[in-house]
Amino acid sequence: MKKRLVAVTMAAAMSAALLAGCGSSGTQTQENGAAETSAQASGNGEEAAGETAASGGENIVWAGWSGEEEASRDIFQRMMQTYRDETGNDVTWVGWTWADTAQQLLIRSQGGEQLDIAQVDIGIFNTVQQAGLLADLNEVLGEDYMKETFQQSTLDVGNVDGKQYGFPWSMASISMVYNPEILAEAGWEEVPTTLEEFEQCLADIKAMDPEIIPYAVSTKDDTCAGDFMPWLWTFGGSLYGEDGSVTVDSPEAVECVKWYQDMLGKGYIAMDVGRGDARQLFAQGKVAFYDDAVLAKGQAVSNGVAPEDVVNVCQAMLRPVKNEGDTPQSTMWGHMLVIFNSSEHKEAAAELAKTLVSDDVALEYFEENGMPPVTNSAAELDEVKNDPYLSTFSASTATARLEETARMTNASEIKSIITEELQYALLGQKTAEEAVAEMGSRMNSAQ
Amino acid sequence: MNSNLRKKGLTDAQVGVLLILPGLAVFCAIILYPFVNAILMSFTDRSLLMPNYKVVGLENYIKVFSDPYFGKTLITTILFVIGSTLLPFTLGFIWAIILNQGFKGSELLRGITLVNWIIPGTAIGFLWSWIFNGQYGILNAILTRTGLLETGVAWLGQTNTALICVIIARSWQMLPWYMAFLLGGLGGVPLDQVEAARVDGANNLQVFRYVVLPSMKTIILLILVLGTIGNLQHFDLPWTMTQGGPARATTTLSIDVYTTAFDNWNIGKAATIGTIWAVLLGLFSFVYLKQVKDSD
Repeated sequence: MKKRLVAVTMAAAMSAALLAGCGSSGTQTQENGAAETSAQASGNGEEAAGETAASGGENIVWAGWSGEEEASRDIFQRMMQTYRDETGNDVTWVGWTWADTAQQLLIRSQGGEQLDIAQVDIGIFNTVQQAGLLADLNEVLGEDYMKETFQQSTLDVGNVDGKQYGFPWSMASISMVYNPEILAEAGWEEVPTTLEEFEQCLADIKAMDPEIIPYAVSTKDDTCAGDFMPWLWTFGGSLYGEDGSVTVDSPEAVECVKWYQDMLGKGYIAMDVGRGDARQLFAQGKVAFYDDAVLAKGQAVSNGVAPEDVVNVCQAMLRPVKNEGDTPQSTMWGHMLVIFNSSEHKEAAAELAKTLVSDDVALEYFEENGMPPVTNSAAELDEVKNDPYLSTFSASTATARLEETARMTNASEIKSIITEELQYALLGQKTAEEAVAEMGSRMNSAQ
Repeated sequence: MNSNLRKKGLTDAQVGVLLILPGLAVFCAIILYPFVNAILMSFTDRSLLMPNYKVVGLENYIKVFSDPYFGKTLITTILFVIGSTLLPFTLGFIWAIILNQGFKGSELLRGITLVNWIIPGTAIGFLWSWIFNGQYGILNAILTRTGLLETGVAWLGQTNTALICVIIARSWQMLPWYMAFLLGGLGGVPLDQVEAARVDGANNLQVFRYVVLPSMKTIILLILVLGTIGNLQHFDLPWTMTQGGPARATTTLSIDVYTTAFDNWNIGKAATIGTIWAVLLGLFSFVYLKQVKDSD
């Protein structure tokens, strides 16, 4: 009887252990991770981070996406090596694609895995900030350091209700880039500045070579809504009013959607084109204009343009305006660094942030990938001040606005609505009026 | 071991319970618990952005069923499932019959055919995205150079072609799977009945209809059930090829659940769609399995 009881108890314990093992996986992962000794980061995938680096310093986990990209993988390795050399701490890189980063940061945080510092863009920043995961950097680094190091305008992007959650790393705007060689072939030595000129330029390019997409504005994925917003502003419309009410159902938005439809009908823009497609086609000389951030030049190089030729085929320009004298529209773009509330290594993470914006590292990042530095000291370096490509982006940044969805928890949902309704209009399944009305109605329901 | 346990005084029922306990525990941990948890979550406003959540009753279900786009998603899912099941099934059957002739090289062809099925879904998605790409796709290159099309078509950028493209890609992926099962089934068709039918003057079509099909009824129903279930769950190809677009033309239930959970962070609503999806899956499985049972 006693043996039978033992057997049954053992079996029950095994079953319970199985269930418990499944239920506490998050905690266990954290504990195991903390117990392992850190390996030197190779930049590929996840590697275990430990409390103590081999050299006796701390080991922090840095997450993001750029370290996964071909264009910046090497420089990220050098940045981390600089940090190791300067501080004696170690850093482990954890990376995903840009599209997966917000989701992975949330899941990793909620799973209790080590996460000290992360690279975020403005959209991802909004998501992780709303989730309450971020530390106030004024407390970690000191308000004086932040104000002495950065312009207030760049600090404002990462400031929510007086708390500084974002550490500016690289900021500019999403404006337009063009291929000067294609424009010259089409008879345009100067870039168009008004919508009328822009349309004429697109027509000339189409007439010169029908194989070229004159303007690769995004018509798919999340970037579609991002490209639509500055054009909506150009036409005088907006998604939301100052009181937060939905205002997209307006004559200006209808005019903007009709303009898109007209451009598609004339073959100036194309369906099934996202930012990734535009970058590749631009690098192949098959696109004359598209919207991108300052990193467009680096993207052209990583997509096959020789570094010495890139200046001939990739230049920045201000977005054409509806009427002469209007302000060219662009959206604020930038990468920030954030430190997590749950981090036990906030000071060490802050040291990494300081290393990344130090003049030498920031200048190398700028020269290699075109990422503009944001510290007061680096912005004064001759190499930065005298760069003509960057100066156009700087001019554009002066009037750049945050995407209207930038501070919304359901930004992705709103962008999906905009993209879908714009696609309905472009594919002729709805009129511009119907698409805009439905856009407004769905955005209201989503609030 | 059973006799040892019985010798120690355990009844057959007690031994049975002990034997199934580990399996039952695994089932509870990896299937039952997440399933029940998902159903419970569907009655909450749980979000990935907030650790706290509250019970909202049927609010998520009301929202989902009153959303006009959900009906469209259901229709798209059904079209995708029908197309992605019947097309590879038909082509796989034809291919299996050809390979079953046993000609020289048929075994090599059978091996080569299986390659499609081995390639990861995302790789297949990217491969077919390049084929169908409106700007640099090989399909447009062939059609325009042969004069069949004047200008390229954005196959994945049109609502009337995007779903067909995804179904074609899925069919290409799954054809070997159907072929392998059906080839096995063809091997089990009684040859004496085939010969008897031929002696009676039956032509190929009649042999196929009156001898081969009835002999393979069970395996056909089985793979159609499994294919339907697999396609109802399928995510990789529509996501990598179109991400559910354009204008929701390829948004199936699996994509709707993913975007609701990981783009909109709305876990409660995603669980609701997932629960409806599971009910649909259960209905299909029940109907088909009942037919299989009846046919026995």
